[in-house]
Amino acid sequence: MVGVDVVSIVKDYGPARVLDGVSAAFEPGRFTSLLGPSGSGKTTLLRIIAGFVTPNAGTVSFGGVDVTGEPVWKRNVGMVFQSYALFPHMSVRDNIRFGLDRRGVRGEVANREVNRVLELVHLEGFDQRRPKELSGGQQQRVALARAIVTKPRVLLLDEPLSALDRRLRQGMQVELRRIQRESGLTTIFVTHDQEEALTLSDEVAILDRGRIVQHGSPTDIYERPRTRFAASFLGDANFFTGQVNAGAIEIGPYRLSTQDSLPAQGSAVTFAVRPEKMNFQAPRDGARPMNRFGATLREIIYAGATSTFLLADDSGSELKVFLQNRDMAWPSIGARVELSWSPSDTILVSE
Amino acid sequence: MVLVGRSWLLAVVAFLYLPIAVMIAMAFNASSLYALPIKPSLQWFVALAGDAPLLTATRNSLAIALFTSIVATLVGTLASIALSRQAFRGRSLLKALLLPPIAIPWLITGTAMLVFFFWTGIGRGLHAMMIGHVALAIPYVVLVVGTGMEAVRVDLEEAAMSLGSTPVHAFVAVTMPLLAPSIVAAGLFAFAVSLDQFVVSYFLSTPGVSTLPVEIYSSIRKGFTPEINAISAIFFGVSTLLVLLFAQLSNLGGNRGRR
Amino acid sequence: MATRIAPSLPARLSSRRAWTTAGLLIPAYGWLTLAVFLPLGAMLFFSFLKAAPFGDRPLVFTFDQYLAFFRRPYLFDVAWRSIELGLWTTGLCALIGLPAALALARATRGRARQVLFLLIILPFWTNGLVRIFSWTIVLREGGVLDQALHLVLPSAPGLSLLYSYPAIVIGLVHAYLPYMILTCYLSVAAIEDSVVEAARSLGARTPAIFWKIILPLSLPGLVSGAILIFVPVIGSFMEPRILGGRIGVTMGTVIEDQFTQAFNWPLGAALSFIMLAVVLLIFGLTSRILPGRVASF
Repeated sequence: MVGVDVVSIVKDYGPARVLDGVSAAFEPGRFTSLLGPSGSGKTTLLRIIAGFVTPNAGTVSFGGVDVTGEPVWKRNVGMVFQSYALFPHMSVRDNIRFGLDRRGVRGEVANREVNRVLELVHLEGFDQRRPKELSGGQQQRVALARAIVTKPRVLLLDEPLSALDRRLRQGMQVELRRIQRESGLTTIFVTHDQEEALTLSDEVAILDRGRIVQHGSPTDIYERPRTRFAASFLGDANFFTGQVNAGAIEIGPYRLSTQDSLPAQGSAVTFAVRPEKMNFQAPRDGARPMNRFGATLREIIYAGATSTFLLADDSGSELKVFLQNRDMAWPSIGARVELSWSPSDTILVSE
Repeated sequence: MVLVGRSWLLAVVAFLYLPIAVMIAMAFNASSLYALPIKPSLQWFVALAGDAPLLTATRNSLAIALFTSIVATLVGTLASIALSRQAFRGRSLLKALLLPPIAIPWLITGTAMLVFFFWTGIGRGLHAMMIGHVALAIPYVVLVVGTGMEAVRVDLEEAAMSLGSTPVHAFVAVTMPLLAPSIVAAGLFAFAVSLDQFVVSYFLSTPGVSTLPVEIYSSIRKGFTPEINAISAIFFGVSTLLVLLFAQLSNLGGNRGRR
Repeated sequence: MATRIAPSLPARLSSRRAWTTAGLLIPAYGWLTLAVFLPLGAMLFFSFLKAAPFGDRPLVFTFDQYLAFFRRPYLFDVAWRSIELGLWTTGLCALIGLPAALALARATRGRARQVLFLLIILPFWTNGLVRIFSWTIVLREGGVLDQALHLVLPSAPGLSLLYSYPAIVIGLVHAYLPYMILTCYLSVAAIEDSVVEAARSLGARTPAIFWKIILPLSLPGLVSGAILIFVPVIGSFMEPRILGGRIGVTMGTVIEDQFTQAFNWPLGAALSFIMLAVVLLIFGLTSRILPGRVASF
């Protein structure tokens, strides 16, 4: 089990800079998601770690050893492709044995290893099938088995769940997590699905336009986003901009407090509030003072367990509130309401 | 409407095949004047065995077709690998350069070869026809193999490399087996292109050294004998077999879905 | 450290890759250069000569060969005849081929469609000479058509279509019809049923559906089919010779004569290049439709 470090990676495709000085440490045995919109450079970073792409500058090291100059076939990585890339002319067993064979592991030893991973991915008895005789979820598990059978130094996953339908994907997420824990592999997972990143990962790195903008645990990233991009890409957020005045933020007639440290008196600040942290009235037992903000209810979107409320503040910008449908004592559309939330949920973000 | 359409299709197929059917039938007719009804006979096929120039021409045709098929497939497959797997400047120009041999009328290509080969001392004859036929077949091979390459996804090779294959091993272990049907199809196609080629052979042949189509053409021009029916019938049968084999290998009718 | 090794790496890889690429491409393109591109260049060179430079004859450059059309007015007639032949053949192929492609796409399915499709394109890859030759048996006096006619109408006069203009057209249509059906089929098969159904739901009747929906959508197939037929037809010489006899004088046969009978290679080269110019002009005008089509064969 080794860690992976990338330092100051730069990659240009012609005039376009795809990665702009990316540095990150992927610790041994941890499951890290690279999360970002398409074009953020997450797949390029993964392919640089794999060795398919050579960076213009920067280093990749596995367990402290520089592998930047090593071609992919010498790096001993396991990779699962978006399309699975199973060899269609080989049986499941031959697919899985391919990497062992390359390492000189043959015969009975190889068969035992294949059986071991087949058991791990719950595909015993499928070893003589051809890939096209398997369902999407089964192909996915073969691809995973093929990638981990060689006990690679790092497991790389390129959006492997995106081709599956929703139900299957949720099942596979649980499976993937279990297999990763059991094998203990350092895992780097590329995805654009924020929910997937939050549920699966020990750590999430958010990429935006060729840079990692935030890297931390899922709760850390969700609860304490550092930038407007991180807050809006991962989950929903309401943004407010106001001025610092005497230890609070002033927006029109409202004074809002936060537990984050504020910049100098008079400077403009932006902060984010998650929609589920807001409510229409202050809790009765409110020992702590709550932030309050006036808005007009525009629309209610009912979704069974929860409802989404769309509101407009005095300047006309849209606000969003998520509530569980516990008592359903809702204000009517068009009503003037007062939103309240805790100062600890008032998160300063940079633009 | 459906009925009208089907009748029209059948009429078209009849138009396409009737003359050929007539020709084949006449090859088995004892009468050299095409008298009906047909008196079955194999005499024209037997006569072929004694027609030395025709037999020589047939041997030439087969030799040229075999050479063309092997060389064009080899050379064309290599080019196809570069054109479909590697990104480089000028690739679209190189792809466009494959079109002239296909699209320019053979009359022009053939006479140009005659002029150039004669002028440079390459001359005419078997070797000249081989050079010409290979050139005509290369673009088809590149197209057929290129289509096959598209079906073999790049990430299969990448997967092999991530598992420890060098690029060469990845190509041999993964791409080649998947590409094999396309390469065989391309070889057959090149063989058929060469075997059926008349125009270019016509300009590059010499009185002593010709191919089967050239020989058939000059027999027709001289005032033909029913022997031509017999050799044409055989020729048609061989071409048809080649095409059917090619269709089976390259999935021409679109009946086998390839993943 | 990072800046020391990393920047040189892509350069090193790309230079090796460039050599591999070149090594893969050179045999094929070298061959094409030797057998197609250099010969075309040589022919262009010859077309500016007064006489072929064989033996002791000196190189004399002249534009005369390109003025042949004005020196020999009968060439205008021949050129026009060739174009006319191209138009007749292309037009008839379109008239027969488009309905056939439509029928194939809309009135057949499954196994029957596969078999018919294969039947239609099969002659396309078999020997053209043999197919043209087969028509001589059908069309000649005392040939199969003649005999069939006399079986029905014993008193009819002898029928000989061989060595006539219609015979050339029939043979050429037979030779090139599969092209048209194939290109039209590719276009027609891409028209989704829902488009036709939508038109029907909007009140269009069958003729309106043909003129407003099917025809415009199959136009790319018609145009590429037309080019793929017109170009080789104006360069044809074997078909007119076999089926037209003395009547079969076209640009193709005139060019062939310059190389095989008259041995006036510079004139033949110039005529070839005039024809090539016409061909390139046609390709150029329709280049946006064609490349994808040619590639699909």
